[in-house]
Amino acid sequence: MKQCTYFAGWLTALLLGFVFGVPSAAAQNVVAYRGAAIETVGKAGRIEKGVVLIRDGKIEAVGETVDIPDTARVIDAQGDTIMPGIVDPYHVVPVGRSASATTRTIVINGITFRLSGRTTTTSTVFVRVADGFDPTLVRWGTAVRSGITTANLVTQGYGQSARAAITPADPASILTEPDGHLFLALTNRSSSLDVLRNGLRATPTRRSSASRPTASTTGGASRTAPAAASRPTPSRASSTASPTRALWQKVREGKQPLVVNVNNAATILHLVKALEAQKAAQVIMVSTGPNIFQALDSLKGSKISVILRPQIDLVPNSADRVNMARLADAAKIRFAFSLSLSSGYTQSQDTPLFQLAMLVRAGLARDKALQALTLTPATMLGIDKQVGSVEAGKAANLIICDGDPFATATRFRQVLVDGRPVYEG
Amino acid sequence: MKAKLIVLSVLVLVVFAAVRPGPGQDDDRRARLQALMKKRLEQRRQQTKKKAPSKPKDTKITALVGGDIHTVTREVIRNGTLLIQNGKILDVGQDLEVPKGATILDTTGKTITPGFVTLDMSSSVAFGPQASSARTKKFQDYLDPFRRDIKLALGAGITTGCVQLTRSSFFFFGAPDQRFLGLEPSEEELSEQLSDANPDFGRAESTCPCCGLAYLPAEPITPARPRPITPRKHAVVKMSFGKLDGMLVKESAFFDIMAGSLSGPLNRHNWRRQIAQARKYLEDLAEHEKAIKAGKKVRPPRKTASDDLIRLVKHEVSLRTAAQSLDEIQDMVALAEDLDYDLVLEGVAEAWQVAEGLAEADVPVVITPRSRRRAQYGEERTTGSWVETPRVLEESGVAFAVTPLTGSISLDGRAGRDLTSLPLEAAFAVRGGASDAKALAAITIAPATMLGLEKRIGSIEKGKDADVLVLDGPPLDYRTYVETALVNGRVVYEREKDRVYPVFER
Repeated sequence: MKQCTYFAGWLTALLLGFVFGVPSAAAQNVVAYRGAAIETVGKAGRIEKGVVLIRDGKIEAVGETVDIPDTARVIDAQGDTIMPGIVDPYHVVPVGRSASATTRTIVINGITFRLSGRTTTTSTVFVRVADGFDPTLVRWGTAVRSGITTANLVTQGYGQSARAAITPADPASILTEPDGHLFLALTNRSSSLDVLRNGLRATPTRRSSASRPTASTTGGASRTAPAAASRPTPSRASSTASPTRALWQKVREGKQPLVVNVNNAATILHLVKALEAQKAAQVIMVSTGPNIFQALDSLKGSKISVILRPQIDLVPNSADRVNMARLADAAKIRFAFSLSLSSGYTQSQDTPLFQLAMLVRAGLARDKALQALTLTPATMLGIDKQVGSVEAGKAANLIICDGDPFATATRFRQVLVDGRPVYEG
Repeated sequence: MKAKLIVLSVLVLVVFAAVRPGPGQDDDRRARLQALMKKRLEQRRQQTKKKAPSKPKDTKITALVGGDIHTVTREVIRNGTLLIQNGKILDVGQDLEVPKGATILDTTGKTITPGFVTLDMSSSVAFGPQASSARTKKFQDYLDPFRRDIKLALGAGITTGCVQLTRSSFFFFGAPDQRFLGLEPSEEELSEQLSDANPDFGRAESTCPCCGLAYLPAEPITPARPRPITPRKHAVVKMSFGKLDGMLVKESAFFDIMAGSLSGPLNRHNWRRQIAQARKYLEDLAEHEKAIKAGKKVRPPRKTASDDLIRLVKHEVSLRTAAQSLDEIQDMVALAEDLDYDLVLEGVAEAWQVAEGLAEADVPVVITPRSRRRAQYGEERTTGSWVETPRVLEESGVAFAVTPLTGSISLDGRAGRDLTSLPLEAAFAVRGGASDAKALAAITIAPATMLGLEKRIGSIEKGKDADVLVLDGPPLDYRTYVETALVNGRVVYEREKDRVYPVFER
């Protein structure tokens, strides 16, 4: 399998080398898109007619008037709209260990038995996505087609996410950051809530507190520090315990947000309660619209940001519909969309932003919708200096569409990741 | 000058002596430092503790103006005013001045009562499909304040329910040896029943076909090793829709045991021993504390009784069990008096015969006025249930609570049997001769008292929790709907908005 991957990598490298060969390298490295409307999602806002200059996969300049060097390949994009590539803050991918935990197949006397294992949604087994993730096993077609250029890869249950740039032609370079965020699926069961509470507690281990009662005078931080330092130790016990402890410490100190997938409204209240004593901890919560709608009052004061499915939701126990994103905006709750969570994600053939267009038509501010797809998730994940808007210095992750992104008939012409086209519509 | 110098030098010497580390002083110093560190730590902990609940206090006042207020424990206030602040009742009365800035709810022409309390609530109402997992200690983790069942309960006027976590409660509609309905007993069977002098030891039901000796199938000859009697778990839950805070009111409200757990000589012996052990433990504990105070170093006594049992012996909770027949009731009351614990009896079909005795023993009962128990053959005048039980209980001064036939709640199936008809069940007590006030008390203050929460819920009084209903008619009328329900001072149900029950105007 591994050999096969290597071979595929070689092959793609060879192919790429052949297509964008050495002779045209200089011209290929500098590209200018001219004449397009640009949704920068940055300080410049919307530029009605401008130029995006890309050099070596990075945006060099954006503006109404940009000096285009002679070596640049100029692409006329009149009538098109350029927007930043979509950042998906919660992209679920199958990961080896969790996939095998759901079902097991055993053979006894020639008869095959399939044992259904524990559901992984509330599994408390720690899974590091970067370790068990195989980019060749994921169908990236939908993501590419939907304009997703950066994704925070998670899996069901509990673990550490990884970040990816969606470049299916080059599977070896899909994984861009193996050490992502701590993610956790939460439900209102003691076993599940205990993972959260123990993690947020500064002194989680019972053994150390019993053997060294005076150590607590120095506070929890110093005690967890050696654990963080001893991370590379190969022994099994420490490899499962200490990396998680180091991650939880980062969460407690507010250095990294915690991504929590919550399965019902009651659990949102349990989550808010667990966070009451935490001063620094930042939480990004994933849940369905109806759940968030029910617990909106409790979320208002908290520091929880939410990841929404981009769709019109039903009010629980009623036939009323609700635009949850608009309500979250009105309640001043920071929100981002995860395109891959929407119900029509896999079916969306050529209008991936249709649901968003619906939300905009139903009262969500247009700029907020754009932000929630790009810059807000990037900020949540702490990568807003690299991606999330069309601004100088950022990666050239762009979507070039043939009209307004939120018009129902608009299609994507091209999706670029690091200046390279990954999708041509 | 000289004197000053001497004093100074002496002082310096003393200080030096104190500071110089001697051989034994080092340990002493370390111990003191440790003690100081411990103290500081404790101080810091307390400081953080004090800081934690510093939530901004909600000083807003809600005022229910107009309407007849049924306080339950006091008189009915005609056209009264009810002020609510911080989830508690600030004041209630006639001609009260409504403070400026208060949210006013016009309740003119409406009836205001305390929220109803039920002693039998299915665990699924508050816990949902995970109810079966909620048996663990941390069952508050499983609470779900967004259940639609909560709205249904609120629509029926229920604001507090006692949830049984281990098994749904059920009533015994007959003693174990009661006959099948519609079957006439033969002469032989009758004589056998009458000659059944000592039921505790079982009955000779048949003889061995080969040797002709009787065998006793009812109880084994060699007694099984007695197991300690453990109660079923309870939690008192408020229907605070949408809020976890204040939802769980109390854990272990009763020492609830199955009917028959205390019958038979083995169980009885076991029970007496358990109670004695618990008492012994409490005595030992008191002695131990005395010894500690006197400065002696003694080990704490071994804990030989469960927390539940200790609570029962300390009169913090009551023993709750079902007892239907006269024998069972008298038996349970006598045992409780003998072993000195509080008692709450459920079912009590034949209580009308011993109402005086129950009043004297101060035993409250839980009744379902619509449940029936068939009289025993040949003893129709003295056995079975009687429709006038509520009247007899009231006249004798027995406190009674009313619960419906089942603790579940739904809009499916046959209407009128579950919690949606709790006030109707109380109305059936009125049909049995009880006064309106007593029947209302049977679903408010009486169950609250049995739960040990009479200082918080069950009536409209200054300082109590603001669990209040606004009704569009008399509380026990079958036409009456709950218009608005408040739990902990917060509006949690509005008939017009929630659309659980019909919304027409009469």
